[in-house]
This record gives sequence, C-alpha cells and structure tokens, in this order.
Amino acid sequence: MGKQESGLKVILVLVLIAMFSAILLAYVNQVTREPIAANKKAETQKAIKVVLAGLKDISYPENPTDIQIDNSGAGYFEAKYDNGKTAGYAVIVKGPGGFTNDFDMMVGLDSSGKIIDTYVLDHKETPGLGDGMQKEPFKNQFRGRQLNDTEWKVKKDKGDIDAITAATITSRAFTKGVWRALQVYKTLREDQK
Amino acid sequence: MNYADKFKKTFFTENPVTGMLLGMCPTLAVTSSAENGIGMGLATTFVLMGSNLVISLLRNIIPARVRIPAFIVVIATFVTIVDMGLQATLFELHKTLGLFIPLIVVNCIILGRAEAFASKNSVLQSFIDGLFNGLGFTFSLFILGTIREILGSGAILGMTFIPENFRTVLLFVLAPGAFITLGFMLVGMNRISKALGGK
Amino acid sequence: METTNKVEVKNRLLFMDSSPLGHVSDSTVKIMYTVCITLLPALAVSVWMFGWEAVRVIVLTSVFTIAIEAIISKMVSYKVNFMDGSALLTGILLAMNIPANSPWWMILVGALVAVILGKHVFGGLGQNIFNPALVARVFLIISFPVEMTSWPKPLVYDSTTGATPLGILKTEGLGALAGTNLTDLAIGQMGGSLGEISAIALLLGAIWLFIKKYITWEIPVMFFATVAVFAGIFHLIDPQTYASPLFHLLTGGVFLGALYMATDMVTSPMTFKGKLIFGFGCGFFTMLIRLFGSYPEGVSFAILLMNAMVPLLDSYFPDQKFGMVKNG
Repeated sequence: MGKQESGLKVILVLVLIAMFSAILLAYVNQVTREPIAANKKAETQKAIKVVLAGLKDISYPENPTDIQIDNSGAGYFEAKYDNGKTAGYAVIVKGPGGFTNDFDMMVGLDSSGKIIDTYVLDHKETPGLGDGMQKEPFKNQFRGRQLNDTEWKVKKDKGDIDAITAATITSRAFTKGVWRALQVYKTLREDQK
Repeated sequence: MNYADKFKKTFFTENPVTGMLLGMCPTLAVTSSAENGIGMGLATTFVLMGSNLVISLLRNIIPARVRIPAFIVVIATFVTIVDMGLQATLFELHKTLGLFIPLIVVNCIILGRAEAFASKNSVLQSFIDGLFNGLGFTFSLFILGTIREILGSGAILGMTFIPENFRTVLLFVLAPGAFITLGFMLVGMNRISKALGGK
Repeated sequence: METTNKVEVKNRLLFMDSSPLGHVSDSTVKIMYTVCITLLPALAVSVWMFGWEAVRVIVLTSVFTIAIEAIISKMVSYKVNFMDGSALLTGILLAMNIPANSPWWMILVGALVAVILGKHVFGGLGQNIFNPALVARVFLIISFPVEMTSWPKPLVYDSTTGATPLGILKTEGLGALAGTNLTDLAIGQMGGSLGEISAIALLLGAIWLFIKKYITWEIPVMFFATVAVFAGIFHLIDPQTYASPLFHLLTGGVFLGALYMATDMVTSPMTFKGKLIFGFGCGFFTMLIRLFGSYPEGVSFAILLMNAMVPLLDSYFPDQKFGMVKNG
C-alpha cells in the first residue's frame, strides 16, 4: 500500500469485490430462503395452535387477511371446519403503547366471539414485569370473555381486567389489543350479515 | 506464531471488550443472558474469521485509497450470511439477538482487526487472529451474560436455580445492569491482566 | 510523557476547584451528625404514620450502611472513618426513600448499593458524583418495582397497602384524587416512603440547617419555584387533567429532595449561578417525568441527572464572588 493506484484499478477492484459479494449472497439467500420461510410459518402455526386450542379438524389459509381496525393495521386467519362452516378466527393485532413499544399479539376467537386464548408474538416489555402478560394468571382471565360481557379496561380505569402487579401500562396495552381483536370479529360478523 | 501469547493477549490483556473496550454496543445490549452472549460472540467470531481470511487474501490487490469501503463490503457480506444462516437454523436465537446481528457490521473489532492485522499478515495468521479475537470477545460476553443472568434472572444458561418466591435483581437484565457489571468486570480483568504482566 | 498528560486531563475532568466541603467552617463529622438530627422531626412523623415498621426500617438501614462502611474501610487503600456520620446519614436518607414495609433483604441490597456503588467506587466520601441514597433508591425502584410501589397506608398500622397520591394521579387521573385534603398532604397523612410524606417536618429541620449555614437557599428555592411554575402553567391550561402546583409541591419527594438531597454539599455545585441552574434543572426534570414519563415520581431521577452535570456547571459558571481561585 502507500503508492497511488490508478483510478481504473480502484474501480475495477471495488466492482469485482461487490460482484463476488453479490453472487455469494444470492447463493446463500437461495439456500436459506426455504428454511427461513418454513421457520416463520412454523412460528405463526404455533401461535394459531395455541390461540385456537380445542378446535378440531380445522383448516385455515396460509397468510392472514389484512384488515383496518381502530386506525391500526391488523390481520386475521379464518379457520373453517371441513364442512366449510367457520370455526373461529385467529386475529393478529398490535397492543398499542406498551411500556417500551407497541407489541404484536394474536387472539383466538371461536365462532360465537368468545376468546379461546391469547399469544404474544413479539414484544420488548420489561422482563419480570411486563412479560407477565404471557403468563398465568393474567392470561386466564381473558379466556371465555366476549365483547359485550366485559368492560375492556383494567380495574384502575374502572374496567374488569386485573392488571399485572406493577405493570399497569403493559396490561392496559394488552387489554386494548384484545379489544381490537374483538372489534375485528364484530366487523367480520357485520359483513357477513 | 506463539499461541500461548496470542491466547493471553486476546483473552486478557488485549481482550476486545475488557482490554480495548471495542464493540460496546453488542456487548452491553445482548448480554442479558449467557446464551445470548455466546450466540452473539460466536456470530461475531464467524464474521471475524471470514473477513480476516478474505481481506488477508486480497491484501495486495485492494488499493489503499478504497480499503475501508472494500473491507466493509467484505464484512457486510459475512454478516448477511450469518443473519440468513441463523434465521434458517437457530430461529429462536435469531429472534432474541434480532436487531443486533446486522449491527455486527459496525462492530469496531472487526474493522479494527482487518485494518490492524489482516491487511498486513499472511492468510493463515489472519485466520487464526480472527479466531482468537472472536473467542476472546465471546469469552467476555459469556462472563458478562452469566453474571447478569445469575443476578437478574436467577438462572445459569437458562436453568433457574432460585426458589419460586425469591426475588432477583431486575436491574441486572436491564441496560443499567450491563454498565454496572461491565464496570466491575473491567476492574477484575485489569487485575488479572496486571498479574499476567500485560500493562 | 503520556502519563503526565493523562493525569492533567484527569485533574481537569474530575477534581473541582476547591474541596467540596471547604466552604463551611465546622468539621465534616459535626455537619453530618447535625443533618441527621435535623431529620428527626420527619422521622417522628413517619413513625406516627406507619408505627413500628418505620422504626424497623430506620434501624436496619442505619446498621447496614455503617456495617458495610466498616467492612469497606478494611478493603480500600484510603482512610475511611465509618463513624464520621456520613454512613449514618446515608442510612437515614435511604430509610426516608423506601416504604415502611420494605423487606430486610431489600434494605440490605439498598445499603450495599448506596455505600459501594454510590460512594466507594468513586473513591469514598467527597469524591462521589451521585447522592448515594438516591443511587440506592433508583436501583431499588428499577429492580424491585413490586415492593417499591406498594406503600403502606398511613395511620392504619396493618399490612394494607396502596399507591402514593402521585401514583394514583398517574394511573387513575386527577378525578380519583377529588377528596384529597391539602392539609393532610402537608402534615404527611398519605402513602409514601418514610421521608417524602411530611413537608412541614422536613421544612422544620431544614430551617435549622439554614440558620447554621450548612445549606444555602439557591437550590431549594429554584427547585420549588420551577416545580410550582411548571405545574402552574399546565394547571391553568387544563385544571381537569393537571393537578395544582401546591399538590405537586406537597406530594412525592420534592421537599425531601430539594432540602436534603439536592443540597448535599459533595454532589451539588459550589457557585451561585451553578446552584440556580442546578435547582432549576431538578425541578424541570421532576415535572417532565411526573407529567409525561412512565414513572409517577421523578425527583430522584432529576437530582441524579443534575448530579452528573455538577462538574460542568462548576467549570462553566465560575463564581469569583466567594474568592475562589481558578487554577489553570
């Protein structure tokens, strides 16, 4: 090094390095694309299995259908029995305004709009506090509830939901997320009528 | 090459983390558990070995004027390979390390070794230098992660050892705990380095 | 060569122009014990409100901090007098920053953090950047949020707990505080840590410190004024959502913080302008956190934040008035 190389050589070397890099990455991408897609799908499948636990002989589409609810993007999987009747919905919503950020969650509803279970897909809440939303007994209180039999707020806001100790903000965001999922269900039902 | 000396340097006296204070971003951000520390460390080791190898191979071809962009392209290539490879094989680990994998590109250790070592030494030596520095980095991250995991979650390598109703010191899994633990670790490592006659 | 440079830079960065304890004539020991004594009225109120639990906390924090300091004194190269009153003062201030139902292990962790992380990692008394008791409080708030947010109710002497007025304000809004009586708040009849409840008792003790000239007016007055003005502006804009300035002054740690924590001689600026800015910053960040942050109370964070700026304030706002000589 040290001596000044000609401009042509500089360009040539950089182009060659970039080309090799691109070819290599294209190859790696091709090899890993399938497993990555499979992993991502398995993650969603796992979530759907949890939130629609107890429903048997159902099938659902590969990808969620997008829907707009409460000024926020959401998505849902419509699960159907073999005879074509709707078994339930797995709704993906955002829990808005968590302690650190919005988080993604999935709520499973049966055909009558009752909550089967909830699943947090991705979050950055405080470990040991906010992540209590993934654990019992907090999770359990949501099972079996539906839109109209519950005041969808935490008890501090005069609602029906017991907040996680010392994590009111997370609990509030979670509750709002569940409420959004129920709104998705309501919208879908009204469309069908 | 004197392997014992290399080991002493990269693990203690000139350890990337505790000796040279390089790569502080991943060091502080991902070490909330020992497993994350090892994961990040090994991913970095792979990139270090790869980039050192390739840069050493090309050391007589790369023009000095554009060596930094050339190094970065090489490093970024390896980081992208790690990113995709982890997603394909260790999906769960990738989810926790997530954001910090692409950031390996800007880890100063890697560019530092490329500039200071690989661009001046033979291929084999550079490869070994990458390996040792990577393992030294992993070693520091593992210790940091282990201390934080024990204090913050009451677990070692994911296995909880404290009784259900005992409290752990939550601060240690959060960012301030990383800084405090690193501070005490620097004290300890400086002691060891001194004993080893480093500086 | 290199060593000389390093030492020079270190000198400029770390050491202040004169000894932090230099501008009072009495010895450190006497000051420390006097401050401890002036805290007695506030401690008495806490015992009145929370009963024997409060006594237990005060005794435990004091014993723990002095014991840890005694152990540390054997381990460090510099001289530490663990009976100079500074460890006792840290212990009492720590007690005033935690709830009366604190479990013993939490008090032990707090004492360890205060003495080791708050003081001795910096090189002992006079070298610490942050107020040790506040370092411990913040450490505990972040580490044990469940224990640090369930405060015993006043005058009931059993295990019922509740939120502080500021906590209620944060989670339930101003409406839930409709029945709150400002006189109760001034006396200290509310949930809270031992030392943040009684504004009157704290003021009583602080007046003695003013008379003895151990503390000066700039920091507390600027602190109070900033909190009052900040709260006042928002209260005028929307009285339905934002509490009155008086509420913000009397609840939480404003009195304890402004009179005893922010005025700590080691960790506050020494110059007139520096003190004014320090007091303003404490009040400003307190209100910023209270109104827009995720924690209900911000006094401890605000003071720690301003503690970090003290060396800057001292060097950017030198004050020739007191005859201090700036060394080049």
